[in-house]
Order: sequence, then C-alpha cells, then structure tokens
Amino acid sequence: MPVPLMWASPIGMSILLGYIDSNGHPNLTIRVSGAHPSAAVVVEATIDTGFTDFLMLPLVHALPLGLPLYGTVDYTLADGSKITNFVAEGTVTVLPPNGRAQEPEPLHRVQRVTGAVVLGGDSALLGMEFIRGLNKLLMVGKTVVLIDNSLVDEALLAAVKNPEE
Amino acid sequence: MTPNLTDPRAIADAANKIYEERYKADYEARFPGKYAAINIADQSATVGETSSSTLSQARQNHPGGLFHLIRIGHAGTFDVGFSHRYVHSSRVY
Repeated sequence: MPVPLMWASPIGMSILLGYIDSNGHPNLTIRVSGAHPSAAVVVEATIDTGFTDFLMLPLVHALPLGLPLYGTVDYTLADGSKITNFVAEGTVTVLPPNGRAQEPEPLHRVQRVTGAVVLGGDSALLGMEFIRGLNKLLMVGKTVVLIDNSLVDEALLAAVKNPEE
Repeated sequence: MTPNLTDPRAIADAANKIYEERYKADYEARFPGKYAAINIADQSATVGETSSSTLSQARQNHPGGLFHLIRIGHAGTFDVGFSHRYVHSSRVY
C-alpha cells in the first residue's frame, strides 16, 4: 500500500487516491449503493481502461443491494466471445484507500456517480464511463491519482504562458 | 411471444430482433456510436449518448419497461479488457 497523499487539496478541489494492487493493477476503494440508502457494499474495484462502461459488480455483492433492474446488455470479452448480463442502476462513492481512517469530508468533496451496473464477473471493475463521470484525470504510476480536470487545465494554461519555467 | 424474463439471453434475443426489424437501418445512419435501449414490453426505443444516461432516460419514459442496451453500429455493447480475460462465459452465473 503506497503512502497516502492528501485526500483533498486545501483549495477545495479534490484529489482522489487509489492504489496499485499485488498484481500491479490500479484499484479504487468504492462503496456501491442502490435505491435504499442503508444497503451498500464496500469493495476494491479495478480500474479497467479496456472496459467501456460504468461498473461491473459480481452477483455476490450486487444481489443484497436490491439494485433497480434496467434490463440486459451484451458485452464482448477480451477473447472475442460474447455474453449477456443483467444491468441495474447503482451509485458509486469513492472512498479513501482501504485501511486508511475515514475522514469527514465536506459535502462538495464527496465523489459520487450514478450509472449502469453490469451484474456479473469475478471482481468489481470500473470502466471509462465512470472515470468520465467523475470528470477527473486518471494518473497511474507507483500509485493511482484522480485529479480534477480543472487543476490540469490551470497547470497547462500556466505552462503555455510561461514556457521557460 | 413473451421471452423468458429470467434468462438474459432470451431478453437480449427478443430485443435484438425488435431492433433489427424496426430501428437498425435508420439508427445506424443517424446515430452511429450512440446507445439504444430497446423496451421489450412495447418495442419502443430510446437513444442516448452514454449507456447510463440512455437507460435512465428509458426508465423515465417507460417506468414499467425492461430494456436491452445496444450500441448502435457495434457488434457488442461493451468491451471488457481485464476481468473476464480467462473466464469462460458460463462462470458468470
């Protein structure tokens, strides 16, 4: 587990942390909830940039949440085969990396996105629709950081104005 | 004929048939790359930019519906790069 960085910058723009797991994959600790606010599960989810959608959640985690069912979706696996799964509505809240003490968060820093949850798979996967819904830039190196796009825009603007610095 | 609603494959097959008969030619010309939610209850379709927004809008339009999501102009709706790489499809149940 990497040394945690600050969870949120003092200027109110949030930086989210993940971590690199033992297999070298980028992960986030998330809470998934449905229509009932007391039904939620905390899971370690892998960020899969090859996954085009929002969240895939194994049935063992999804069924107890009573997620509202939308219907079905086909998807193509990495080996080219095609399967069909149920899809439901769920809300994902990003939490500090597992093991770190929970800190009270001002409301505007809570990172919560609602989207279509594909029910199935062996482990929780976060896809590109989730990353876009957060409106953050994903950086993966020795650790995982999601940073406000506005911060990046400001940095780029500053670099353009002062190219020699 | 009403498909078996406990079998996602049956729902998908029914919806794909509706899509191909009623919407495919038109939607592939007008909305390539977007998403269509086909309601097998009344054979209606809702088009949107993302899978989540399309399904959400479809539910708002047809609260009692059961939808199959299709990515217009693509063979599969989603791609999964990692989690199922070595998993046979029967293991998801």
